[in-house]
This record gives sequence, structure tokens and C-alpha cells, in this order.
Amino acid sequence: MRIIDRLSDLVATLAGWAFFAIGLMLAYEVGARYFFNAPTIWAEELSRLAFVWATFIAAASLLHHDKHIRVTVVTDRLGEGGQRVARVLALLFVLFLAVTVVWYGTPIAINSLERGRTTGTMMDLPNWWAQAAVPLSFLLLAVQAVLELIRTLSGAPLPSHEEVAD
Amino acid sequence: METVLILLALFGLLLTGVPVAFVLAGLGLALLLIGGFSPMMAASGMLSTMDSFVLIAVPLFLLMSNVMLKGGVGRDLFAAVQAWVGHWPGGLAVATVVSCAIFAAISGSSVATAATIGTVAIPEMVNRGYPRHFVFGLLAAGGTLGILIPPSIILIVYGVITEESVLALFEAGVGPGLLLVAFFILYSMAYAHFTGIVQDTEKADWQTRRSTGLRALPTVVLAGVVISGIYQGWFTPTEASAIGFVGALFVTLVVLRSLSWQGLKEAVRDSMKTTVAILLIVAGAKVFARAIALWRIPQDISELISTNIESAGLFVLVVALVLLIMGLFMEALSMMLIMVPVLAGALVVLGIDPIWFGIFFVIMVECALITPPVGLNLYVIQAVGKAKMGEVAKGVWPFLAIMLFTVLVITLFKDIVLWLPYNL
Repeated sequence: MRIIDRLSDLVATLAGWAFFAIGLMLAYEVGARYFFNAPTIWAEELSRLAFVWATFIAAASLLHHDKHIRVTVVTDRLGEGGQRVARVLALLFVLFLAVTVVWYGTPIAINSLERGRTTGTMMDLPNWWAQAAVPLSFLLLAVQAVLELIRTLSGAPLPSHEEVAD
Repeated sequence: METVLILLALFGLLLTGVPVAFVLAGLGLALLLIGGFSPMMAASGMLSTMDSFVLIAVPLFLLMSNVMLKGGVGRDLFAAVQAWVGHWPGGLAVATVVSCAIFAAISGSSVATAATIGTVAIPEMVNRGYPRHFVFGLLAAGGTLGILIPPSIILIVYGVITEESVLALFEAGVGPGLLLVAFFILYSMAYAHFTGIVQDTEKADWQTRRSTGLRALPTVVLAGVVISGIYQGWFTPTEASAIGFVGALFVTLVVLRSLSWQGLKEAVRDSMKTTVAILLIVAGAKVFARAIALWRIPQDISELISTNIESAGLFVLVVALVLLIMGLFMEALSMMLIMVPVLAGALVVLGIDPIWFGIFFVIMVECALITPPVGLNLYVIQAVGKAKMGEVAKGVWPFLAIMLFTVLVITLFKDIVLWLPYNL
């Protein structure tokens, strides 16, 4: 179980640095265009690809640490038992979503892979490079949701929720 | 009937505490399955939402403000502003508002703004005899300038979901942002004058003004480059966010040498968490919006609105009331992503300008950010000021009134919002 937690956290850390790298690439792109009049062909496309992956792949880690934005006005007023029941229901819903997205999302990427579809842009990357991000990320999310379900049902302490967004 | 059932399911799931992103994506998916539509749309819809160059500005503006936050620029900025306005009546409060406004021009997030300025301003103001509840209220409200004065994460997302120009939205935010700053300053000065409980600060000499000003200069220059670059068309908002982020690294690592490796790692991690939490909701909202469109829910609602509400003014009033109620328990971005796709049709029917509506919406969700019991800015101020929620909540009411008054002003004088985007 720990291995999955570590994997989720590792890919989330990588996602953070991917956003960092996107910033460097795009700043370089602006510099190259203005000062050397030589825009790159890779900066925008690689940024988009990294952006898609980074956004979805970190979902599992946020679930593990209970850092997703959620409405706590009711659950905060419940006792320990009530909070546990609510978390189980919430995780079951997440599991339903994640499994369904993997089920219907995987064929999209496989299909592109088999037919060799490409983006038709300057770098002409294979389509499945981006399309695989959604099913793979939701697969990790589904596995993490199962782990969290087991933990919540077996009485492990609930993670502390804290809002991070704006 | 279907609309009522869907709303019940939506609020039931939200109140159970399912993460908002998964409520929207999951309910959307369920609606696709039940309605016999292709559920593949859920996966492809989420992917296509994120395949957006405009949205890349979200993590980069967050990185920029988190790097500045960890680099401690809040302290420098506050010291510099204080040297200029500290001796006015309510000078420290004025310095706080102005610092929030300047940092808002770097940051697209109200939480980062409240945290950055609050860390320095709260102890300073409390030491000078300002009542704690006033200080907390001022910081919670001042922080909301972060999402009104460009850049703004919420306006970027609004632009993406309504397909309006982010540039026009950024321009539209300037007028109301400055108006709000002016109101906060007037209120602070009046408060200090009439209560008379605040110790005055002595006027700073030119020496102090120059030394503190020099230290804050890189931050102000960076904000200036980013904002004017966007307005002058030197680069797109997304490129501006990349320039701003690299500029923030340069300012904190090279010029001020105030950012540690640990601080940088924290900035990267915090930005990632906020980005992912926000953008997954955007992706989920896309699935939900497509699904309810197939069920013809927005059409039903616009029909309901157009048969019952004839004037644009009444519509705006109703939306404002709904937002105030939802704001009691929901966070700003989720509210926007649920409401806007449903209301977009009605805007056209009633002839409301979508740019104006975006700014109106942002000020209303700002109110939501500071209405107890749920408001992210309240939590931030509570944590930074080591305060009780009761104290913070007591302090925000006058500022909430000021913000609602501002909404009234921009509703009566729409040019405050629309003049810049249509004349620049």
C-alpha cells in the first residue's frame, strides 16, 4: 500500500516541476522570438503535453492527502463516525468515476496508437501521448481510492483537510 | 422536474464532501450514461479542456506569486509603502490596502495576496493599537483584490469557459479594482479618525523612503512589466505568466537573494497543489456542462428566467442573492464553474455584456471568499493572525458592505468596467 502512496506522491512532485519547466520553456520561447527572431517549434507543444499530464496525474496524491477542494460545511459538524461514513461514500463515488473514465478513455488512446494518428502540428507527435494521460491518471486515482477506502473502513485516522485553492 | 432532480443530486453529493471536481465529472458521466449518450465524451472532454494554452497561465501565475511569497517580498513592499503613507490618519491600514493592491498586480490569487501581506501587516497593525477584528477584516478583504486586479486566476478560467478574451477581462478588472481600493482606503482613514484609538506613526524621512523603496523596486518593476506587456500586446497572458515567473525567480534568487532552496521547493509544491485542485474542477465542470447541455437544462433555465424575469437588473439581483447564499458554504471557483454555464444563455437573452458580468461575478465571489462560515480568506487570516474565527468574522462585515456597495456602483455605472476594454 505504501508503494502506491509513494508513487502517487512522486508523480505529484514531478508534476510540480513540470509546471516549473513549462514556465522556463515559454519564457525561453518569448525571448527567442523577441531577441533572436527565432521562435522554437517545440516550446508550445511540449508545454501543452506536459501541462495535460501534470494536471491529471497529481489527482491521486491530492486524494491521498485530502487536498481536493470540497464542501466541508456539513461533514465538519459530524462526529468521527459520521465523517468516516461520508468519506466512504465520497470514495465510492470517486471510484465509480475513475473506473468508468478508465473503461471508456483507454480505447481512445489505444485506437490512436493502432492507427498511428498524429497531431498534425509542427512536431507531429503521436496523439496517444496526450490521450493516455487521462486513463492512466484515473487508473492511479482508482487504485488510490481503493487504498483510501480500505484505510477508512479499517479505522485508520482520517487525513486532515485543508483548502489550498483560491 | 429533471432539473430539480439533477440539482438535488448535485447538492447532495457536494454536501457529502465528495471533491467538487469529481462531483461535477461523476454526475456529468452519470447523466451521459443515463441519457444514452456516449460516455467517451467524459474522457475526451476532460482532455480537450486541459489542451488549452490559455489555462497554462494558471500554474505559472501561481508559481510567480508563490515564489514572491516565499522570497519575502511582502515585507519589503509593506515597508516601502508605509514610508510614504504611514503618517496619514489610519496610515498603516492604508499601507496595507495599497500593498495588497500592488501585490495583486503580481498575484492572481486572493489567498496568496492575503497571506503575503497579512504575514507582515497583521503584527505591525496590532502593535500600533488597531483592534484585532478590524485588522483581520481589512486583510481578508484586501486579499480579495488579488483576483480582481489583473492578473487573475478566476478571470482566466471565466474567459476560458465563456470564450471571452482574457485580455479584455483583465482590462475590465482595473477600474473596479481601483474603486475598491479607494473605498477601502477611505473607510480605513475614517475608521482611524472617528475611533481615535490608533497611535500615529511619525513621518518617515527621505533616507528611509529611498532605502525601502529601492528594496521594493524590483517587485514593482516586475509587476509593471507583466501588466504593461499584456496590455501593450507584447505577449499573451500565458507568455506574460511565464515571463513573470522567470522574473520572480530572478528577483528573489539574484537581486534580493531572499529565496532558499527549501522555499523554492515549497513554492513549487504549493503551486502544484493549488493548480491541480483548481484545474481538475475546470475539467470536471466541462463534463458536467456538456452533459446538462445534452439534457437541455441550460435551455430550460434560460426559458424559466426569460419568462419570469423581464429586466436585466432583476436578473442581476437574483444572481447576486443566489451567489451570496451559495457563498455561505461553497468556494469561489466551484461556484463560478457551476453557475456560469447554466446562466450563459440567459445573458444573451437579457442583453447583459459578458465581460461586465464576469467582473460582477468576480466581485460577488470575492464576497463569498470572506463570508463566514466558509471563506478561504477567512481561513488564511485565521492561520496567519493566529485568530479565532469569531474575531475574523466580526471584522469582515463592514468590508462586505463596501464590496456589495461597489457591486451596486458598477451595476449603475457600467462604464467603470467596460470603458477600458472597449476604448483601449
